[in-house]
Amino acid sequence: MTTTAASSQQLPSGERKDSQVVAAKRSMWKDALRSLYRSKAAFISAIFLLLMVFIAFTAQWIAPHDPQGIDISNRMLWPVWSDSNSNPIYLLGTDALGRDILSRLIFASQMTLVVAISAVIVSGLVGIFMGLISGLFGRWMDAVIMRLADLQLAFPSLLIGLIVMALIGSGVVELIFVIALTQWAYYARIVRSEVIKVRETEYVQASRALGAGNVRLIFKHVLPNALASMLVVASFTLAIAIYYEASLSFFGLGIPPAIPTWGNMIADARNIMLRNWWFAFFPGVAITLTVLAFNLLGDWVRDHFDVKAE
Amino acid sequence: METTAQKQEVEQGTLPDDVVLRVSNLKKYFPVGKAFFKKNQRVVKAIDDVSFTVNNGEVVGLVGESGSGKTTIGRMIMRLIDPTSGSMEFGETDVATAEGKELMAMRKAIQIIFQDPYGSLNPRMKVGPIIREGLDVHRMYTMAERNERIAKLLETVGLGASHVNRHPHEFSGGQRQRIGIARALAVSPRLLVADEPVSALDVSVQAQVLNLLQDLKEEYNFSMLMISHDLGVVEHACDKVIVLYLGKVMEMAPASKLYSNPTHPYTQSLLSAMPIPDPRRRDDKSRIILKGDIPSPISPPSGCVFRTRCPIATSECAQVVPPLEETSPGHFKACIHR
Repeated sequence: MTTTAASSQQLPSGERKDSQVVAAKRSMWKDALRSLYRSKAAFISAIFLLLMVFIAFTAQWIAPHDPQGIDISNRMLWPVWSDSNSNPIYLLGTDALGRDILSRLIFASQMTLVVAISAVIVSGLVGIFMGLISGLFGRWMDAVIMRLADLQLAFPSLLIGLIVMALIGSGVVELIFVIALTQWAYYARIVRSEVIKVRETEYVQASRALGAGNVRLIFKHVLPNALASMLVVASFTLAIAIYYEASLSFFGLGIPPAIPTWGNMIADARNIMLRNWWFAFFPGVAITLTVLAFNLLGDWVRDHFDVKAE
Repeated sequence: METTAQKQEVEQGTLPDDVVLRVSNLKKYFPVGKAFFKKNQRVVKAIDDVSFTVNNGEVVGLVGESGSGKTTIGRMIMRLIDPTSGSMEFGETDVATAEGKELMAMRKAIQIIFQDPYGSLNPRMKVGPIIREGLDVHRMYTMAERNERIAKLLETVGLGASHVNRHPHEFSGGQRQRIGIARALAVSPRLLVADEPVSALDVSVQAQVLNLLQDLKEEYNFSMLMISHDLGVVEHACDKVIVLYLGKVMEMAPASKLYSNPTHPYTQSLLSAMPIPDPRRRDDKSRIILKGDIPSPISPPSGCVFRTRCPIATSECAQVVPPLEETSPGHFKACIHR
């Protein structure tokens, strides 16, 4: 004890303490990175997703062709490695209108990321808000919100998506809204259970005894404790959002057909898929790999932050 | 209830200068189950008509078995739960009804330390922010002064200023309890409620923490309400002791009187159950062993609540609720036989 007291007297300035805070934060991230590196599946997923983000951001420079550019003389070209009917400037072949599949794939990643990330943010915010109301105010509010959540979870969510999209029409904003509608309940449940769990702890009692209000309790005690669980759900929601965007677009109810998305590309391929397999195959692979990567990364987040699966 | 010293004080209305807290006729009834009509609602009388005072610089011990309501009293004084009726005068404020600014001022002046050194610190917060919370809430001092105060508090409770950036899990139980004490003292309270402050700690650490509290009491000048089931701890630390049973006061006396001359049969049996660190006295015949457990507070015994386990109970005890009477100055007991 005496040694610590002595050493503490040597740090009278605030600067030194601040640098210690920064160091502690840095080591937390370093720990996370090291653990990520050790987990092969998660590490590869992370690299893959980073690559996808990079591609999405640099689409206009790296795409070899205009994604909407129609080349009638080069319709339905096969991928370059197949010996029959192919052209080396169209790496993954062309579709029924002669548009370059590779360029469309690259541009589609933009819309996919926008939709997925927006959907996670919107559903997260709505879910956190509902969960907080439910957990903090309880009684009939809690009953109403949780029954709504049950209702939403009991219904096949793709069906909800189809019905709502059919009612309100298709579009990017509408799609984000629908995905948020089907996902908020997971966040709400986590936050609610965290509120109820944390509310009874002695550290919240202590905080209340110090005069802390609800806002402070939420931001200092509830949300930091719920963060790890929410990260896990967020990683799965990202995967689900991509899958929904593809599914709804495939049904013609998602993103307007003019905008290239992976779902729209598969939808376009519907009629000739059996003969010209690559129309559907490449966007299909893109969806599968991205969803898989988000799921694997989600598993790692859960393991690393030691969250019990809910 | 017959006229007692507390009753007279209540009627006087204003709080004497040397009294920090005056609890009068405090009651807390918890509803049990659900009833459609209010009159059918069954209740648990967790606290039933408890009155006492805490004087300036005094340490008052609240003892009793689990289920006797001692923690409930602590939570009510902290206004973590609302009493059913009764008043808790603290300075100009009635803790039971304070609102807004008055409530905030009270929250600053009354602080609590908890039993469980693990559950009472947020595992995701560092020690600095934990201690800082009260200072932030009440906007005390400037930012730089807050850091200084935190460093000083950590040293006062026997930790180092360099510990501000550690998480609670890096500390032992005793050290965590010291952090809890520093958090409570940060806002300079006048009254500290210590809810079983040492019962979760190793015996070797208990004395350290108790002595620390004693020293801090001098330095920071606060009064203390110490809730405990451990009579040894209370004897060591308290000036006045209140013995609770099923939400009622059985006996209340200065610590020296209570330990040398217990009047109430419940106090006598509690004291006789204290372990004596002397093997030669192990077979002492004077030990009174209580039968069974504390009765259910949903249907407490009629008359004296202790009569079902009392070694000297008579049929009369089932008829009359024994009043809290003063037998000698400052010494109160609720028993019709003694």
